[in-house]
Amino acid sequence: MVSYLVRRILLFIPTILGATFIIFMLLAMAPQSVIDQLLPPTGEMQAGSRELRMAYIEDRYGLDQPAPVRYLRWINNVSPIGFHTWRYDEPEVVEQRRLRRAWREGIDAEVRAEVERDLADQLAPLRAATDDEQLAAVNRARADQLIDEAKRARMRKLEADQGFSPLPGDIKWNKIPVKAPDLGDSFTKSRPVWPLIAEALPVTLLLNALALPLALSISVVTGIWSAKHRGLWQDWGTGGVLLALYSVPVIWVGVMAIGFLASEQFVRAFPPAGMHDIQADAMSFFPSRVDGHWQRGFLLDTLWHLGLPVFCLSYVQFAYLSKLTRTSLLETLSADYIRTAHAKGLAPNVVLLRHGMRNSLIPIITFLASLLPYIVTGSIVVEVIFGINGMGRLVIDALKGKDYELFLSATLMVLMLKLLCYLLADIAYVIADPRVSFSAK
Amino acid sequence: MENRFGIKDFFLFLLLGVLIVIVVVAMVQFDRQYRLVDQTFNETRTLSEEVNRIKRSLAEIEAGGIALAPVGGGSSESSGGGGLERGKGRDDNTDPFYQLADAQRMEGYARGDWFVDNFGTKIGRITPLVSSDVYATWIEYLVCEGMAQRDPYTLDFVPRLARGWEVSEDGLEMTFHLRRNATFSDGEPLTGEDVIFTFDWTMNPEVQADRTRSYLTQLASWEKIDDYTVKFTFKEPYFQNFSQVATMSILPRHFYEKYNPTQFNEHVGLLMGSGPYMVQEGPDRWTPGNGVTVVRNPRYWGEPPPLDRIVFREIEEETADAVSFRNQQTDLIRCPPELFEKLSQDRDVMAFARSVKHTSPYKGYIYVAWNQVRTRSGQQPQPTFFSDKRVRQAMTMLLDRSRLNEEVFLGQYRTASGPFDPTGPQSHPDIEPWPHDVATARSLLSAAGYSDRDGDGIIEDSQGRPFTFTLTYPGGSETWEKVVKYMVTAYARGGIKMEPERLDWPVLVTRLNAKDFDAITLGWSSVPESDPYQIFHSSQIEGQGDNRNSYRNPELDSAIEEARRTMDTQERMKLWNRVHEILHEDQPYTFLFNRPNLWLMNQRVHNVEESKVGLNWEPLNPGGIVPWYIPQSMQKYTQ
Amino acid sequence: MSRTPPPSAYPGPGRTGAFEPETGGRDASSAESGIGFPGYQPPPPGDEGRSRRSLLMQVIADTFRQRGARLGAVWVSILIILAVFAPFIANSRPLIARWADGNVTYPLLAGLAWFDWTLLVAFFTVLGLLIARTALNITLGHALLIMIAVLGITAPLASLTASPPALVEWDYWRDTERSGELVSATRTIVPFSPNDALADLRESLQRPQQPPNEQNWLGTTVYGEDMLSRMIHATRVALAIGFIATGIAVIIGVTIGSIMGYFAGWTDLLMMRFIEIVEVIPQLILLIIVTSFFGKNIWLMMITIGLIAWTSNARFIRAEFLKLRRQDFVQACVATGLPLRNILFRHMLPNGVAPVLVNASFGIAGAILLESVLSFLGLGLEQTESSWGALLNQAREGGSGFNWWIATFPGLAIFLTVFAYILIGEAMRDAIDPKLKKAGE
Repeated sequence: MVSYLVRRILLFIPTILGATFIIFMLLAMAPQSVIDQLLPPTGEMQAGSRELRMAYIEDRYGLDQPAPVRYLRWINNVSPIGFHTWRYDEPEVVEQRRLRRAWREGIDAEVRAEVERDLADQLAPLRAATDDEQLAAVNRARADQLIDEAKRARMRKLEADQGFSPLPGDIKWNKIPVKAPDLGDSFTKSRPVWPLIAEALPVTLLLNALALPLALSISVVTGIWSAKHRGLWQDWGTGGVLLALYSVPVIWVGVMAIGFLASEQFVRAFPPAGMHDIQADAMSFFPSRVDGHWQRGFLLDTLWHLGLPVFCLSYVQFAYLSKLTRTSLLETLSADYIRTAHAKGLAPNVVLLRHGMRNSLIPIITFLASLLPYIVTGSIVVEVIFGINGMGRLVIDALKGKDYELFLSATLMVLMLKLLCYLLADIAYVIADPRVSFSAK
Repeated sequence: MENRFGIKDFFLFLLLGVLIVIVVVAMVQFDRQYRLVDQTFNETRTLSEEVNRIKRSLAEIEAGGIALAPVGGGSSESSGGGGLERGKGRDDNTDPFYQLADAQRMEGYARGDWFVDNFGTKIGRITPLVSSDVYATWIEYLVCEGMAQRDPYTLDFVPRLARGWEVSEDGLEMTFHLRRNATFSDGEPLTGEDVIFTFDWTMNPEVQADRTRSYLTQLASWEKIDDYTVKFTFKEPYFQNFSQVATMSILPRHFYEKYNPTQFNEHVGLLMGSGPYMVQEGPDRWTPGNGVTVVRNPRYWGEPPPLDRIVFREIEEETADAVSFRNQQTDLIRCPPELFEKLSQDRDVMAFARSVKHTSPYKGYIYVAWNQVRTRSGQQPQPTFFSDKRVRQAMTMLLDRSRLNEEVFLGQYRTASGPFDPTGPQSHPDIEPWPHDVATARSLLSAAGYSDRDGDGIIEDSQGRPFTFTLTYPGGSETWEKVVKYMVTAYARGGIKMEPERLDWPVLVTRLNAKDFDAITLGWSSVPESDPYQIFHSSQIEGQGDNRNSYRNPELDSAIEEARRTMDTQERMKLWNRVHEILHEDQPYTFLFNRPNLWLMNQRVHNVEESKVGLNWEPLNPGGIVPWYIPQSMQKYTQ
Repeated sequence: MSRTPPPSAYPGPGRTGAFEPETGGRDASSAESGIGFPGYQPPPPGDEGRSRRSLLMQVIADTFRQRGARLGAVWVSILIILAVFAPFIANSRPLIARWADGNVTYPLLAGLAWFDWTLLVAFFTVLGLLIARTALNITLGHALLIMIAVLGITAPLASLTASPPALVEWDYWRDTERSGELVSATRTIVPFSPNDALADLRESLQRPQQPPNEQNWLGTTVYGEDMLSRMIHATRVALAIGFIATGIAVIIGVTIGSIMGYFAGWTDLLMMRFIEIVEVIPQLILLIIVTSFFGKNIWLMMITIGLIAWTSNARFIRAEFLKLRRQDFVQACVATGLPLRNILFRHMLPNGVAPVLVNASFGIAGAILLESVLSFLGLGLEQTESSWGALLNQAREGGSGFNWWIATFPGLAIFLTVFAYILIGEAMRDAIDPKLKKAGE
C-alpha cells in the first residue's frame, strides 16, 4: 500500500508537468500580448515613456523570453525545489536595469539608424512624398510603429551580448535550490497570487463541505426508500425523477432559484449574491437580540447566503448518489446471506438497514471519494451565478482579465487538488473495501 | 472483516466531522473578535494622540504663541469662469468649507453615521499617481487635498491648502502661499517641502505616473521660496496650467520618501494625505478585495465633514447592487436606464429613496469614430470611405439617434452634438445635432459617388467596391450589443452593409493603437472645461495621441491651438464654440449621447443638491467637500 | 459483482469516470471490485461468426424497446426536424410574397444560405435511405458512400448558387406589407427570424423584452428578438455540438484506445500517462482558454470538446481490447496475417464498441451542457448565433429584474435535451448489461 502510494505520488509529477505545459503553451500561443493588457488603455503617455514602460513590464514578467523558457522559469518559481532567482526589485537588479537603460539610451540613435536601414523597403512607400497631409501623418505614425517594434527586437539581441547581470529571473547559483514556492503576482489585482488563493480556496471547500454531506444524507434515505419499494410505482417514479434531476443543468437551476426565490418580484426568501451580509462583520457570531431586534448573527447569515448555492451544488450529486444507493442496496439484498437473514426470521427493516445498508455503504463512500476531484470545476458555475468569490470565480476572473500568472497558479492549485483527491479516492477504496488491493499479484 | 465500514463507523466519522466544524467555527469567531479588538485599539490610540495634540495647542494658545492662520486674500482671476454666477449666494469665496457651514445651519443637521456607496467594480490599487482605476481617484480626492479646489457651484478655483496665489500677467508664473495650520493625517505639518516633493516625485521617470505627467508637460520648474511659498514656472501659456498644478494632490514627503520608485509602483495601498478622510486600514495597509472604507481624519486641520465614514463596496452584479440598495444596505445606486426606470417606478423603493438624475460634465459622451485612413496589419495605410466629409455626415444622418435613445436607453440620454458638456459654455448654443434624415443622407452619398450599381441593395463607389465596413466595439456589455444591433439595421436602410466586430478590451486597444479599424464605438469621459487637443488635433495622429481615426482639419488645428493659449475665459469660450462648429460640420465622430447620471439615493442622506460639476459632492471633482449629512433619527451605523 | 458506473462524460459535479488506480492492476481490480465499467462480457467467440453488425443492432433494438429511450428518441427527432427546417418554421421573410404590381416572389427560398440547402438535402437523403433500406438491401457502408456523394455534390453546388441577400432588412417585409406595396404574404408559423429585433413592432420607449403574448408566443429577448424563433434556431447549435464533438471524441478515443489495448505494454503505459494528463485538466477551464483566446467559433468549440472528451472512450475500448486480445479469434486473425487495421477495426472493435456507444450518449449530453455553460458565462458563441445557454445568460444579466420567460424556456430546452440523451444512454446501458436489468426488475 505504502509503496503504491509513493509510486502514485511520483507519477503525479509528470502529470502536473504535462498538464501545466499544455495550458501554458495554449496561453502562449494566444494571439494577444500581455503587454497590451498592461499598458494604460487610452495611451496618455509621454513620448518614449511607452518604451520604458514596455521594458519594465517585460522585465517584471520576463516576457521577453521565448515561451518554453518562460514555462521553465514559471515551473522553477512555483516548485519548492528549484533555483533561487533574482526578483525585479532587488537592489542589484534595479542597478543593472538602470545601467541597461543608460546603455540603451546611449546606443538608441545608432540602433535606430540600423533598423531604418534594414526596414528601408517597408519604410520607403510610407515616406514617399504625398500632398495629402493626413495620409502623410498616418504614414509617419505607421513608420514609427514599425521602427519601434524592430528597435525593441534589435535592442534585445544586442543586450544579450552586453551581459547585464543579474536581471530579473536570473538564477542565483550560489544558493541551495530549495525554497518556498512563489506563485507570482496577479496583475489585474496587483497583489501576490498566494493570498488570493488562500482567500478563495476555503470558500470553495466550505461550499462543498456543506454540499457533499447534505447530498449524501438525503440520498441514503431516498435510496433506502426506493429500494424498499422495489418494483413498485414509488421506485419507478423516484428513478425517473432522480434521472431527470440529474439532467437539470445547474445554470438553469441557479438562474431560476435567484429569479424566483431571491427576487422582490416573486419570493424574497434568499439573498441573491455574496457570502455575507454587508453588516455581517458587525454582527455577533450566534443569533442574538440587539436593541430589542432579532439579529441572525454571522453564522446564520453565512448559512442563509449559502443556502441556494449549496442546494445547486448538491442536487446533482444527490440524484446520482440516490440511484447508486438503490442499486447497490438491491445488489446486496440479492446476496445469499441476506436470504439467510430473512430465513432466520429477522424483521425486514432490520435486514434492510443492518445487513443490507451496511454493505452498500462501500460503493457510496468510494463514489463520494471519486467525486472529490471535481469539486472545484463543479463549483465554478455556482460561484459565478451566486457571486461567491471561490476558486472557480478566481479562475474565471483571471481568464477574463487575461491575468496569466494568477490563472496559471490558480489552475495549478486546482490540478494539485484534483490529484490529491484521486489519491484520497484510492485510499478510500482500500479502507472501505478490503477486497481491493494494490499489491502486485 | 474487521476492516468493514459499517453504520457505526459512519456515525463516528460524522461525529468527528461535526467536531472539526465546531473547532473551525470557534477559530473563525476568535479571529473576528481579534480583528475588532485590534481596530478598537488603533482608534483609541489615535484619539488619545489627538487629545494630547489639542492639549498642546491649547497650552500654546494660552501662552499666546500661535497666530490663527490668516485666511483669505489673493485669489486672483487666474482661472475658471470669472463671468459665471455663483450658485450659492455667498460673497466670501475664500472659505473652502462654506458648504459645510451652510449644511450645519440646516434643520436636522447631525454629524455621524456612514454613507455606503458602491464602486460597481473591483479596485486593485489606490496608490496615487500609479493607479489607473478611476475609482482610485475618488479615494485620492477624499484623502488628499490640492492647493486649490474647484467650487462646484461656480467652477471657480478657491483656495484649499493655499491661502492664496498670484499669477503673472503672461500666465507663465504662479506663486502659491500655503496655509500654516494644515497637517497630514499623522499630525505632521504640511509645508512647501511636501509640495516640491510631490512634483519631484511625479516627474521622476521611474515613477509610473505617465498619466499625470502628460498633463504637466507645460510645467518648466517648481521651486520653494520659503517654507510656505512655492513658485511654478511654465513653458507656454495654457488655460489648464493653473488647474493642473493647483489641484494636484499634495503628498507627505516624510511618508513617501521611505519608498523607492519600484516599491511605489508596485504597492497597492500607499495613500496618505491631509484631507478630511483617511483610509481605514492605515496609509500603507490597505489591500484589495473588500472595497475601500475611508474614516474621518480626527486630526483634520479644516472643518470636519459630517459623515464619519464613507464606505465603498465592490458589488459588481447589477442585480446584487439593486438588491443591496433595496435592502438599504447601500445608500446610492448608479443605474443603467432600465434599472433606473424600474426602481423609480417601484413604490417600495421610492418610499425610502429618491431619484437623483443629474448631468455631470465628468460623464462625457459616447461616439462612433470614423477612421479615415486604415492601417491594416502588414499593409500600407489606405484611405477609407470615411475620408469624405459627406459620407460622414450621411453616416450620422442615417442613425435615428432619438429612436436609438428610446430603444436602448429608454429616452434617458441626450443626443450629443459635439465633445463638450452641452450645458456648459464650451458648447455652441445654436448647434443642434444632425437630424435623422435618410433622404438627405442618400443624396449626400450619391453626391459622394456611391449608388447601387449592381442591384444587390448595397451601394458601390465608382470602381464598384461595395460600401461595407466593420464596426468594432468592446465586448462584455449588453448595451453595446443593442446599439450595434440597431446600427446594422439603420445602415442597411442606407444601402450600407455594416459588420459588427466584438473585441475584448486588450485586443481592441491594440487595434486602436495600430489604427486598424474602420469604425469604432466607445466613450470618452470629460472634465468641466475639456481640451479637445488630444483627440482632434492633427498632431495627435502620430505618437501616442488619441486621434486614432486620423482626422485632420487645419482650421480646427489653429482654432484649438489659439484657444489653448487664450487665458481670458470669455474669449476662449468663443473659440471653443468655433471648435464645436467645425467638429459638427466635419463629423469626425458621430457623437451619440451625453449620458446623465441616473442615480437613486436613500432619503436618509440630506443636503444632496445639483451643481455644475454634478452633485454638490462629485467624487471626481478635485478637492470636493462632502456636505451630505444624515439626521440623527435616520442614523443607523454606530461604531 | 458489477455496479452501476457513473456516466463518464458528464461535466460538472456529477462527472465521475472512476479513476484507475494503476495501469497494470487495472483489469484485475476492475473485474474484481467492479470499479469501472460494468462487466459487459463480449459474446463468446462463437458468436463472432454470426454477424458483426447484428450485435450492435441487437443492442440498439434492445435499447429502444424501453420506454425511456423511446421518449428520448422522440425528443431528439423533434429537435432534428426543428433544426433542419428552422428557416421554414421561423423566418421574417415570407414564403410567398404577392406584390402590388402583380409580381410574385419567394423571399424565403431566396434567402436560404448554402448551409440550409445542404442540411435539407442531407436530411431527405437520410430519410430516403432509411425508408428504402429494407427494400433495396442497402448496407451501412453503402449508405455512408451515398451520403458522402450527395453531400459532396450539394454543398459546393449550393454555396455557388445560393445567394442570400447581403443586406439584412428584416422589417422590410413588414414595412412593405404595411405600406401596401406587398398585397399579401404567406408567412411561416413563427414569422420572425432569430436576429430580427422587431423594433418596428414596438412602441417607442417600450422595453425590448416582453413576456409571452399572442404575437411572440414565448416572449422576446432583451434585444427584442422573438424567443421562440431563437430557440428553434438554437437547436442547430445544440445538435451540432452534441453530434460532432462526440463524433470526434469517439473517433480519437476508439483509435487511441484500441492501439493501447492491442499493444499493451509500454505503448499502453505511455499513453495512459497522456490520458491522465488530459483528464486532469478541467474540461471547462481548457474550453474557456480556447474560446477566450482564440475566438468564439462554433467549430473551434466542437473540436476542442472532442479533443478533451475522448479519454473515457479510450479507457473503455482499451479495457475491452485488453480482454479481447487474448481470445482465440483475435489470435487466429493475427496468425492468418491480417493487416492490423483489419484486426483492430473489423474484428475486435465490433466486440468492444458497445460501452462506447453508451458513453457517447452521455457524451452528447455532456457536450451540450458544456456549450450551454460556456455561452452562459458569456464565453460561447457570438450574439448573432442562437444558443440556449446564451439566452439563459440574458436572464441573469440586465437590470430590468428577472424576466422569467427568458430563464424558463431555454433552460427547459437544455434540460429536456440532456434528459433525452441520458435516458437513451441509461437504456442502452441496461440493454448491454442484462444482469443489471434483472436486478432492477
